[in-house]
Amino acid sequence: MLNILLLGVGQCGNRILDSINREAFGGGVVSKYYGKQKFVSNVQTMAINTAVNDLKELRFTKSRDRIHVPYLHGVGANRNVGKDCFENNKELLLRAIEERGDFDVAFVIASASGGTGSSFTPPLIEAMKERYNYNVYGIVVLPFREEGSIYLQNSIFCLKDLMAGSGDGTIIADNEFLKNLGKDIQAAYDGINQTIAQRFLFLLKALDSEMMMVTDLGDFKTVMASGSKLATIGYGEASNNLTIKSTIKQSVSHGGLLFQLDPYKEATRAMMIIEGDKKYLNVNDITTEVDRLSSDIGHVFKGVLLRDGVMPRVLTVLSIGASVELDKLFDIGVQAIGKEQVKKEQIAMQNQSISDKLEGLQPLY
Amino acid sequence: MRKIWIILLVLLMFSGVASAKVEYFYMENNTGLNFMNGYYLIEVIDIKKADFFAIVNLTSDGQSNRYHIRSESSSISTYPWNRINDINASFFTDNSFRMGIDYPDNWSAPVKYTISSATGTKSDSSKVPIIVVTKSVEETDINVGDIIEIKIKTTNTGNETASGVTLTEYMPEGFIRATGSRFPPVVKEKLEPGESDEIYYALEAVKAGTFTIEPTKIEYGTGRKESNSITITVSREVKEKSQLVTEIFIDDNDVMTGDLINMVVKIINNGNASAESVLIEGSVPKGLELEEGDLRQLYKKIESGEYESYSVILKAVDGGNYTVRLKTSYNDDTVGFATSSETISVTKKEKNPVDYWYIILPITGLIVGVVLFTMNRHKEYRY
Ligand SMILES: Nc1nc2c(ncn2[C@@H]2O[C@H](COP(=O)(O)OP(=O)(O)OP(=O)(O)O)[C@@H](O)[C@H]2O)c(=O)[nH]1
Ligand SMILES: [Mg+2]
Repeated sequence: MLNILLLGVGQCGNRILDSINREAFGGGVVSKYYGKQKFVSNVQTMAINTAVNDLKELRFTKSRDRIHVPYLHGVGANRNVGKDCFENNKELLLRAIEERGDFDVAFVIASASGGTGSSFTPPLIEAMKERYNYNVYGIVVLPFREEGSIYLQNSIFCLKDLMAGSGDGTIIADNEFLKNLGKDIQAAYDGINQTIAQRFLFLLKALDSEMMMVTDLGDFKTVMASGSKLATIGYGEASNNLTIKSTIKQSVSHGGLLFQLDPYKEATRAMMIIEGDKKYLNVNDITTEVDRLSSDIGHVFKGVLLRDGVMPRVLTVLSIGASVELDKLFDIGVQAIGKEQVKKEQIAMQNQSISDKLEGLQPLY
Repeated sequence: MRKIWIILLVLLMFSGVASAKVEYFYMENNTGLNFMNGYYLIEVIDIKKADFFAIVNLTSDGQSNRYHIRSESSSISTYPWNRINDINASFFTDNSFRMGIDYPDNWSAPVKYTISSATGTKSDSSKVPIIVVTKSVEETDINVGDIIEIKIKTTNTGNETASGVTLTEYMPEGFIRATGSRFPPVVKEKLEPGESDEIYYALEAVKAGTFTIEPTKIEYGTGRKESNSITITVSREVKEKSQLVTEIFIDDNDVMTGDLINMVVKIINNGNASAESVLIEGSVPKGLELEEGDLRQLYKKIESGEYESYSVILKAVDGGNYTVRLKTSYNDDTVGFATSSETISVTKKEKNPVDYWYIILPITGLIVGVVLFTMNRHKEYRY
C-alpha cells in the first residue's frame, strides 16, 4: 500500500482537493456522514490557502487538514507577493507536512493563474524535493483565456517555473478547453473539478494495484519526466456500442483529454491504464491500438486491471512535447505582458503631465 | 477574488449579448455548412494551421465571397454575407478546426456536407462500400412525457469494408435526451461488407406538436448517406381515462384488545371513463384479526362518477399501532396505488408500557449512538 500526500494550494487547488475527497466518499452530498473514503492507498490530504474564507468553503476536507497561511486576504493574484509570503511561511508548511509522516509520492494541486496557488506551488515543490526523497508532481489548472492579462501572465510564469524546477513533472488541465462542462462558470468549475477528481482517483487506484500487465510508479515517473515535464490525462469509458478499441481512441481524443493536444503528434511518452471485465478486453485489439500510438510517439506503458462485470475504462497519461496550444498560451501571455507594460507607461506619462502642469502652483483660497 | 468575479460577470454579460447563439462546428477541408436549404452556405477552402486561420467561401443570394477567419470573431458587414453576424476559427489541426458561427435565432441548425470534387475519375469502382441507413421508431403518435426509442440501422451492402464511419444526428425540437440514454449515438467505425449495426437512443417528448426527426447522416471516406426522417405527433392531453380513489373509514381508532372495529372501504371513480377490472387487495396487520368479510374485492366495472363500497369487521388482538394498507389496481393503472387507513392504536388490557422497555432501551441507545457519530463527523469537517 502506497503512502500518498495530496496538497491543494489556493482556491482552485483547495476545491479540486475537496472534490477528490468527495469523490472518494462516493460523491454524495451527505456521504461524509456515513461513508468511508475508498482510497486504495493511505492518502493524506491538506488544503493550504492564504484566504481563510476559501478554506471555510470546503465541505469534504477535514478541518485538521486545512492549513491557513496568515496573510490578510490572499495575495491578490500577485506572484511576487505570493513568493515572499511562501518564504516567510515555508517552515510552518514543511512542518505540517512532516507531521503527516513519510510518503511514497506527493501531488500539489493549484491553478497556474491566481496568486497563492500559482506562486506557492513551484517553490513548495522545490522545497519538498530538497528535503524529502519522494517524487513530487504538480497538477495545474490553466485559466479561461478571457480572465485577463494578469492571470495569463501568471500562468506562463508558473509553467515556466515548474518546467525549469526540480519537480518530477506536472499534469495540466485547461479550464478554457473544458469550459463546455458547465453552462455557467460555477457549473463549469464543479464539472471540471469533478472530472479531474474522478480521473485522478482512477490513476491513484491504478498506481497502487496489482495489474495484469505492469505499470507502476516507476513507469509513471518516466512518462512524467519526459518531454517538457508537462503532461495531461485522457479518459474513455465504454458504453453500449463502444468497443475497447474505440474506448482507447476516445481516451486520446478531443473529447477525452484535459488539454488541447494531438497525442499522435505532440505527445512524447504515454502510459495507458485499462480497467474492465476480461470478456470485454480483447488483447489483440488492445495491442493494435497501443501499437498505433507507440509507433507515433515512442514508448507506451500499459497496464490492465481486471474487474469482474465492469465495462472497460481507459486512462491515458500523455507527456507533452512540442505543443501548438502551449505555444499559443505563451504567445498570448507575452502579449498580455506587453499590454500591461503599455498601460503602466501611459499612467506614468499621465502622472508626469499632471505634475508638470501643477509645477510651481499652490492652491488659492 | 471578488473583483475577478465582477470582471468575469461583466465579460459574460457582454459576450452574452453579442454571441448568445454562437455554435461550434468541427470542420475539415472540403466540407461545408448548408443553412436553410441553400439560403446560406459556408465552405472551407483551406486550413492554415501554422498561421491559425482558415479560408472560407460564403455564398448567399447566388453571390460568393472569400473570407479569412481567425480566433477573434470577424463580424461581416457586407450584404448578403452579413446574414450571419460573426464567424471565427480556433483549435486548428492539420486538417480540421473549430468554426464558431453566430447566426440568427430563427434559422434551423445547418447541415454539414462534403464539397463534391470532380468525381467519377476513379475507374476502380468495382470494389466500393455502400452504406444503407434507416431509422425507425415503434410509435409515432405519443403524449407529452412519453419516451420513444429510435433505432438506427446501418448496413454495408457494398463489397468493400467501409471505414472511418461517422454519424451525425440532430436533437429534434420538442424532445430532450431521455435520462440514461446516450446522445448523440455513436456508430461502429468499421463495417465489413454485409455487416450491419443497430444503435438505439431514447428521447423524451417535452412539448406538444408535430416534430420531425431529421435524417441521420452517415459519412465514410468519400461516401455520404442519409436515412429517412421521421415525423412524430406529440399530443398534450392524455386520452379519456378512469381515475380511482380509495378511501378507508374506521369507526374507532383507539381500542382495547378484544374490541371490534368496523371498516368501510369506498372506491370512487373521479376519471372521465369507466374503470375496469378493479382489484382491491390487502392483508390484515398482525395485531388485528379479520372477524367478518374479505379485504380482497373485485369489481368488473365502476362507471365514471360512480363508486363502490364494502365493509369488514376487524378484531384487535395485540397491543400496538396498526394501519391497514390496501392496494387498488385497474385497467388504467395496472401497477396500482396504495391507501392506508388512519392509525389504529390498540392498548393491551392488562400489561402496561413498562413491559416494552426491553425494546425501547436498545433502540434509544442506537439512536443516541448514530446522533453522536454524526455530530462527531460534523465536528471533524467543520472549519
Ligand atoms: N477548474 C477550476 N478552476 C478554478 C476554480 N476556482 C478558481 N479557478 C481558476 O483559478 C484561477 C484563479 O486562481 P485561484 O486558485 O482562485 O487563486 P488563488 O491561488 O486562491 O490566489 P489568490 O486568491 O490570488 O491568493 C482562475 O484561472 C480560475 O478560473 C475551481 O474551482 N475549479
Ligand atoms: Mg484565493
